[in-house]
Amino acid sequence: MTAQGKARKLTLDVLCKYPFLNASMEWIQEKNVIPLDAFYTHVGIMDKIRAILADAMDNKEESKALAHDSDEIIYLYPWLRIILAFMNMPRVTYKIANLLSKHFSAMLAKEDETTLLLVAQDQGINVDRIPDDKAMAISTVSFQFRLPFLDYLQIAAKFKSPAWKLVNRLLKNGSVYLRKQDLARMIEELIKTKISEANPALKDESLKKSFMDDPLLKPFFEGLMNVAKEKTSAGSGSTDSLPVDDSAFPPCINAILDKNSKGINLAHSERLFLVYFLLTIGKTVEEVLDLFRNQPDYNEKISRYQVEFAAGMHGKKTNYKPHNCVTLESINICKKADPEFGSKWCVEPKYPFKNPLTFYRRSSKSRARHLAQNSGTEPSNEDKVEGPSSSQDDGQST
Amino acid sequence: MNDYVKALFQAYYREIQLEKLMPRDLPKRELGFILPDKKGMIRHKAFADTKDYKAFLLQNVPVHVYYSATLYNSPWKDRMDLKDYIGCDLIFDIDCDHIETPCKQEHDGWVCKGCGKKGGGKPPVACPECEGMSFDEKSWLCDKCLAKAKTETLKLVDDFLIGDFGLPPDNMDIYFSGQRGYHVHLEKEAFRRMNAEERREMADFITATGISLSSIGFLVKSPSITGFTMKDPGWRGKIAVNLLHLLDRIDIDGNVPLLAKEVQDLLRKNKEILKKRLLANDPNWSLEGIGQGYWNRILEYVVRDTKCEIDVPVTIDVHRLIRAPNTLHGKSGFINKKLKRDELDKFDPFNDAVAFKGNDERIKILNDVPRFRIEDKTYGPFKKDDIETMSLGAAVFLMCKNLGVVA
Repeated sequence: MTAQGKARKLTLDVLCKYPFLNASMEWIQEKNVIPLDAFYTHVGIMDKIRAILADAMDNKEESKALAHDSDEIIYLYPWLRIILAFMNMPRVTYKIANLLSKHFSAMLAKEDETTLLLVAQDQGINVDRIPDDKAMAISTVSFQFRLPFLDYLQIAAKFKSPAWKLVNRLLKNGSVYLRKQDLARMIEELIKTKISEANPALKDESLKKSFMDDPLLKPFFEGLMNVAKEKTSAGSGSTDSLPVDDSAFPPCINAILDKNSKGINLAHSERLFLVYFLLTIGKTVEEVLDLFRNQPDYNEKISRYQVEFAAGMHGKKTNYKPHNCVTLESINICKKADPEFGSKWCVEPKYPFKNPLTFYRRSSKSRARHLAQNSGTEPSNEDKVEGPSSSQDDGQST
Repeated sequence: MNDYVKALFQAYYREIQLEKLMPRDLPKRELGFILPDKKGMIRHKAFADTKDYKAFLLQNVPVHVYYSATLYNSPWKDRMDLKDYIGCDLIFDIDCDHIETPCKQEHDGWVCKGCGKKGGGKPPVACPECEGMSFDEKSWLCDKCLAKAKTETLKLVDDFLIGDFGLPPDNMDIYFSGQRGYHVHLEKEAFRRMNAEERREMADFITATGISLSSIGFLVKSPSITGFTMKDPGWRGKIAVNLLHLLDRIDIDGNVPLLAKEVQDLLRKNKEILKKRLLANDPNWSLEGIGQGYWNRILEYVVRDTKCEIDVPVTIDVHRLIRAPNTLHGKSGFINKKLKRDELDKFDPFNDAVAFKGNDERIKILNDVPRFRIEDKTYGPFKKDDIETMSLGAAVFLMCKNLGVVA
């Protein structure tokens, strides 16, 4: 954390506005209060946490409950994270992380450059502001910040949009040039990551016990759990229970299967990807092995060991997941724009995705829905089946 | 490896100075060896001391020596999950196999295992005669292939690593691989900490993978087209600079390969005005007869010509074994030679990486050999069963490829 000295220049108003700041935590620590007392001294905290949870479960990207009209919000923020750890429901944590990060990011994008810089530095982003007379300008757009490329990659390498790929960024002498909104977006990602990470409070048994034993907080927590469970069960739509649907495969898999069906020797990377993908969606080891019998160099013993290894039956028993789309692109397996196998759902997805599994899950869900609607009434029409467009499983599954 | 070559390799390892052999952080690296007359690679070796490493080389005289780019707390353990990963050097590999050169059609070839049909260059997907898909392949090393690999290495180092990534030349170690290309190693702590995703982003920048003209600001609002200027950072500036080079080449070369004639004619027609705008850093690329479709074709060509042909999986992989410094390559007898940036321009692999220079040898040729050069002398082509006198370096080169024995 290189910028704590600078972060202290932030006013109380800014600390309330952005309670995720390290400087906001320092402010609380200086008050030296007993943690649970916050709920008694700031009676609005519980209502606000309930409202934040409700907004998050409704997939909202801003919340009135995060209004920064008093220092209450500074106490609320760490407690919200602790409660998420107690709840131990990854889907709820992800939704809250999404709401909070989007909410603060929208506010940050409207800040002046100095405040934005101080917030970024508080979050450990090693960013520099370029003096106005030396700012990089492309057309009429001004790039007022620069960041060493390694620092940039630590945050932005996870982003899905092509615009965030380093190849599409302004890189010069090791620095990536950024606009205000770019920096706000990077802070958003840091907030989301931090909230989604395991909270150390999870291991603090005495804190958990005193929280759960508190006559005011115990029913409050149970109420939150009930809402969370109700909302998550209503929105669940896992594909795990669906049968494997070969017609929902992404272009990359279809292209490899096509080569395999023609007996063309698959590259090592293609074989690995195919095995990881098929096993992950529920194909059995025998079904996968059957496919490889088409390979000119098929060897039952070696192939069986390798497929079983990938299925977590040997070695350290890891269940391997298929490569992400960006990796597939790098190793020339991606076929999204291929004239024969390409798909507009890959090239221009309604909701971006990072892994071909997401394509498959959306596509198979959409087909299953369509078939269910048509069963017994009229013959299914494949042409009418929607491509993968739902954002339901675009979160932790990828 | 025959006994003659083995004795020479042993003499080389006896004489080499310890510090030249020593990879940085040797005790934290796994070493792998291919030994003469043994199948597969001996893996999971580790040495606390360079003297032990050198003693192993002298005793076993490996055909190939590799070390892990990765550092581990327990490199000797035989399961990757037990080795305890610390970090991994960032490696770039430029290999002739991945670079298209016209001469490959002359010196590389394939034979269909099904019907025996032969052809030049890389094998086809299916044999044109019998549609078989299994081939014996042969490849050869020539001055042109290695010159192209050096050009790509210079591009990687100067344009990308120094120019874009701002790395000082003394942050990188350059190696001639001993056979078909070059490796560039970055061993600073910050690079060792990079995960595979971050490494992929760097590799994608260098290979222009995922480049999106609209994302980098190529604007088409018909009839107005806004491009880039040469002072722009990143790929914007690279494209503008290389577009200017293309305009010059169209004049000098007459016909630029792989760029459609109609596109070249349009560029030639607009050459003066476009050149003037590029030199004045004016991003106005609206030109008569060149609409968005033609611009896409021009820029696709410029990007292809500008990117660098690294072997991406090597850069991304954080568990890769790579040839160890200053060891000998068992398929050429050349040294995996470490170079400073300013040594690279004049480096001649067929001379400067030759480990064995000495008296001539009489060699019996075991199979047809294309023309090749060692030091300042060119040999061949030879026919099977020829007896030829050649320098020791040339003799070792052929013996390493099982194409000759001492007569």
